[in-house]
Amino acid sequence: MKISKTLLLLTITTIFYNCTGNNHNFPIEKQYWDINDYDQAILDLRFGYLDNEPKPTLDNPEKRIIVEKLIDKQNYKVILDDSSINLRERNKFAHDFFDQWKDMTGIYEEKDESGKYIYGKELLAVWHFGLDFHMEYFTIGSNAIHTFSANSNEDKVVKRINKNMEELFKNFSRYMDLIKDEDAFYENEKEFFIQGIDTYFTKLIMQHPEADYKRVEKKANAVLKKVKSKEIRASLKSLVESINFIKLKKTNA
Amino acid sequence: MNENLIAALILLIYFSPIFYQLIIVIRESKKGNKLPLKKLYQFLKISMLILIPSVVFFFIISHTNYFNYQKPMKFSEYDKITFDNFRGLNFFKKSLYGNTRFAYIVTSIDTNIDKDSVSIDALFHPSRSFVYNKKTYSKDLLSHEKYHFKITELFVRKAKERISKLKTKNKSNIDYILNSIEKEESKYQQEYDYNTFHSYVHSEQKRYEREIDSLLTLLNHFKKSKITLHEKK
Repeated sequence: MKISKTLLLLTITTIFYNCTGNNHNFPIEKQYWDINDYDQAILDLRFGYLDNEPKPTLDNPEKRIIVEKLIDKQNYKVILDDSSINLRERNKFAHDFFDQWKDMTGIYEEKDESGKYIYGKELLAVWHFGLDFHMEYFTIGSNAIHTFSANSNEDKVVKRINKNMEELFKNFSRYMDLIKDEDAFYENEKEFFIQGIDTYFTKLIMQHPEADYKRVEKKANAVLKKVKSKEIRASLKSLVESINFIKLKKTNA
Repeated sequence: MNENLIAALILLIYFSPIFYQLIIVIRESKKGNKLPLKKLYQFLKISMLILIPSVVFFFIISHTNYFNYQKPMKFSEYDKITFDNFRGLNFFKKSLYGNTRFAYIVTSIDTNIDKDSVSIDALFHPSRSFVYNKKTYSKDLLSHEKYHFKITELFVRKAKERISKLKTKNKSNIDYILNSIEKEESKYQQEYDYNTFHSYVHSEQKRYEREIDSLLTLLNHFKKSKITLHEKK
């Protein structure tokens, strides 16, 4: 009887192990992740990990590939930059991708008992990825509005583009909100945050010098009142200066 | 449920009478009773006699679906190919990276060397080619798969061109050309899939289509399957 019991136990253990084993299957061997892959990966990263189970991070040599895949710009560039795909399809893809990115921002939001982000660098990396993507999404979206409107000078068209621009600025402002609680980040993460300001905000201003940056400026000034870090303050001040510079340029023109 | 787990469970259930008999053998052997051991051998023999042909049958059907067989098609029938011709079965690889918008085509180079001629054909094997969902109406996916067949035809024409240029048209030289062509074709097929990422990269797909079509046109002269080796004087 002992043997049959052992066999039974072995069978049950095998089934149990296979059913409950934390198998996170990310398609890392795949060249490009599509919307479906993002959907699955985000779901797993947000809800498939146990409380004490570490999520993939950039400093984990074995798991960093998952984060790298998640924030690989080629995943959207392969579609958005492909002029052989019609604009309507590219715009639809960009729209779906943007929805995925919004969900992505929730992956690395957890804080530890001391109130610090557990995955601060990854959280910022996801944001950097999203800011860059949002600029492309805006360009594609604006092109689509112009192309598919009967009259591109119509008030309606201008209104829709301005609305999209507002959405773009809203997201950039939300990025600045992250640093309001600067103690939640470690020093190296603060440096990474500054990189985001210096890179993506500069790119935004260069791409859209004609836009009204009132909202971004207001947010930068509000954050400046809260943060103590010299480096962050310097970066934000430089951003405000850039905004003022283009404002001045516009008035002189 | 995990596929491996399903396979393990099926085997476990299948062999459960043997496990049961094994328990009896161990229990009875202590008492010196050898009869259960003989019975175990009997059980094992019968189980294996059923299992081995079943497994062989399973693999044969996975390779070529003889239940829904269609003989290989030549390149001249290219335009007739639709997903209805993808009749193969796939028990293991159900999807491509979890994506069900998935199909694969099996093509081959068929050669027949005679004394005075050699026939080379690109063949499409319907009963070995698979589509996840036959009702898939994806022109892009079908076109991508069909271009694999065009690639095979392209290399068939290249082989004929090289053979026609041979100074000594003997069997070993022809075999050498055919072997190298098969290797080149396989490499090109892999590159095609990698660069187009199974048609996902639209611009690359279009680039390949243009390239393959123009190369095929260039080699139109080698469209016929048979080439004569020794011209009559």
